Amino acid sequence: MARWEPVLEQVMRERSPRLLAYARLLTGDDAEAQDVLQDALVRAFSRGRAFENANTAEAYVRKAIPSVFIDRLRKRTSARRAHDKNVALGGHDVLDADREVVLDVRAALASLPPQERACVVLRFYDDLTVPQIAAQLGLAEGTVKRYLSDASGTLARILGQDVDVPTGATGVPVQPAVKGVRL
Amino acid sequence: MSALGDLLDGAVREDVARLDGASFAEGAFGAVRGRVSRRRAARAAGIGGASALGVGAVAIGAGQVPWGGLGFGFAAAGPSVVCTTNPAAAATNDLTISTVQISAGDDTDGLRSSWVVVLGSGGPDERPLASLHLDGEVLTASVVDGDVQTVMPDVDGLYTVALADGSAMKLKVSAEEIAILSFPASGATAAAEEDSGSPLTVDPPIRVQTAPVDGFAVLNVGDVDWEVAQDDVTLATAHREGDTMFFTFADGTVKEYDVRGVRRMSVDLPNGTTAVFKFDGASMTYEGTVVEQGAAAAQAAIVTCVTESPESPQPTESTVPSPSASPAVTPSSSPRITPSGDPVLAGDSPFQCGTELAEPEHGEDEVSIGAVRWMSAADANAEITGGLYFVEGEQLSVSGDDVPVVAMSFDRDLTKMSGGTDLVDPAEQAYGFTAVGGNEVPEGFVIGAQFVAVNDGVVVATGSPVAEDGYRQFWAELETEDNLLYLLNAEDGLVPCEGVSEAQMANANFAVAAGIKALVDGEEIGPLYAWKVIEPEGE
Repeated sequence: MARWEPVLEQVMRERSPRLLAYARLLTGDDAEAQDVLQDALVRAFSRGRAFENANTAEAYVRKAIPSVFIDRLRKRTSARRAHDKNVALGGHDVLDADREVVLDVRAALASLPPQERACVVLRFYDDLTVPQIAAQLGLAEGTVKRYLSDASGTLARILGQDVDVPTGATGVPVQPAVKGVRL
Repeated sequence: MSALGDLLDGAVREDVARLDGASFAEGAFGAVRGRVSRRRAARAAGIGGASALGVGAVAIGAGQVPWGGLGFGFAAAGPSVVCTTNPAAAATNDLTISTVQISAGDDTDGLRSSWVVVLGSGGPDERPLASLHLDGEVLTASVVDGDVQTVMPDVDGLYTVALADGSAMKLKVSAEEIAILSFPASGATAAAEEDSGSPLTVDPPIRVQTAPVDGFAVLNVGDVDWEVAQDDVTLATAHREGDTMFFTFADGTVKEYDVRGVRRMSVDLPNGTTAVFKFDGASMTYEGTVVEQGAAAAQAAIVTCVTESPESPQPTESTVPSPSASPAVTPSSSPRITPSGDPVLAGDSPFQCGTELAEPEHGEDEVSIGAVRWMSAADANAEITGGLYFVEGEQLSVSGDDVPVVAMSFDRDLTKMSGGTDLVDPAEQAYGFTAVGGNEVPEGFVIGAQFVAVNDGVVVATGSPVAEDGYRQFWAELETEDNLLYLLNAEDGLVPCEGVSEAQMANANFAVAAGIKALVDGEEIGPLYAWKVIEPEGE
């Protein structure tokens, strides 16, 4: 058995719930989260790294997940992207019309276009700075700022809170008063 | 953590409690392990990144060689010559002779394979038709602008897939092989008869690519026999055995060529033209063209190349005589084959023999050469096998004293796409992964790098990175996204260009050539090149 195989198996058995949950933040879907995680595992372990333990490997896999997610998006057709956009826009309308229906932060996330969703997760869940997000996703910093700005508007509308998105390197003030969100 | 961060954290915690890692591992470990194993093997061979997927299209098994049915037939008026099954087909410059690329199924999945059928000769004009996935006997066809069809084989074992325009193509499919037997798309000039048992080519050609879903397997390259003829005169027969192509001319002269990677072969024809062949061992594609040389070339040049594989009939419309009937070519006018470095082809690629490098070091935003360090070959071997890469020592061919190790950088935006890495000129690499199909657009990159030798600013030797006894040049992609190229075997890791003397080689410097090309939203970028002449150690 190759040296990396036991580490891979350990990560998949012991760390996959966390990794899947993280991927699901991005995908909003269990099945796609599994696909993303598989691709991220392949990406992380294929580069010849000599992972000494599962912790190190998990960190690499986790870091690879947003990139894999974005890469998968890039492979979609314009039509598919347009479809996603329409779905997202449609979601806004529904959510705007009946905010009471929105009880889950996942629904708010799912209403965002995928790129915005990835930026939000990296910014607010991973506490990355805009330059760090730009580097990780291979986007221009200005693009990241735009995504975050657009997302903040959408989230504020859906969640009933102000999502202040700073463009600097520190500080993530998000105002409370979230309506109907489970914790 | 912010309030929104807390909410996201709560969602994650909830999912963590719900999700079962053991089930995920049980269901996916085999597939992930298989994909990782193949990619590691491919990277060890200098074929990195997602190209491992593309490697699925690398080779064609001997028993499955569809070359015979490709029916090479050069037919054109004017200096450009194309290969097609139909001599009446319109002339096209530098037409890529279509081929069928084959991938074996994922060994973790057994009889599963996937392909994408593409109409076109590559580049932005190509048009995906359908993606195919075989699982056991069931073929799932996702037709572009059409529907998803589940197709079972007919009594002859053939599959029929309906295309979006109402026509249909008939396929012969197995886990290791796919052949298109009929394709009635409008504008195509297919000449092969349906049910002939031979794959056919059309103009534009149909290409079948490995879909990037099920990994890859490298199969042994089979033998291929060709005939090269011009004006009804057989000029040579070409026979491929493994990594060597043998050209046998009418006067009995035999020339051998190593066809690993990308090789150019040029044949000076009696009428003053030069037939040029490019063979890409990675994509298993040939390109044929005729270059005008002198007034004699003003005459229409018709070069025909057909396969002579006994299991594959020659195309019925071919005008090529059999070898036995071909007129003798006198030695004085017999073709002369020269290897790479043909002056007509020499361009700005630092991978090519004869290319004059305008400056000792050159880079682009998309590709650049960084620091050079020298280390003993043994240390290089140890560095690679000692943890940098999971490569066993016997996979490397290490020889010589100190060897150079060069850092390279490639555009991170472009290389975030799916793509391939190989130790050859990216211009000669097919996109190992072209994300086409019902819900994808063509997008990808290829990068290449190679040690060469330069004398007085001219490339005098090109790389021979891989041999049966191990890798002589080794590409390491580090987790920092940096790339290192090792010259492990300085003694025979390079092959002198024809006509280069020992003295010229003795006075040559090592150099490294690197390049990148990418397909973004259907538009090709590059190939763009960088190079760096390496001063001898200590200078």
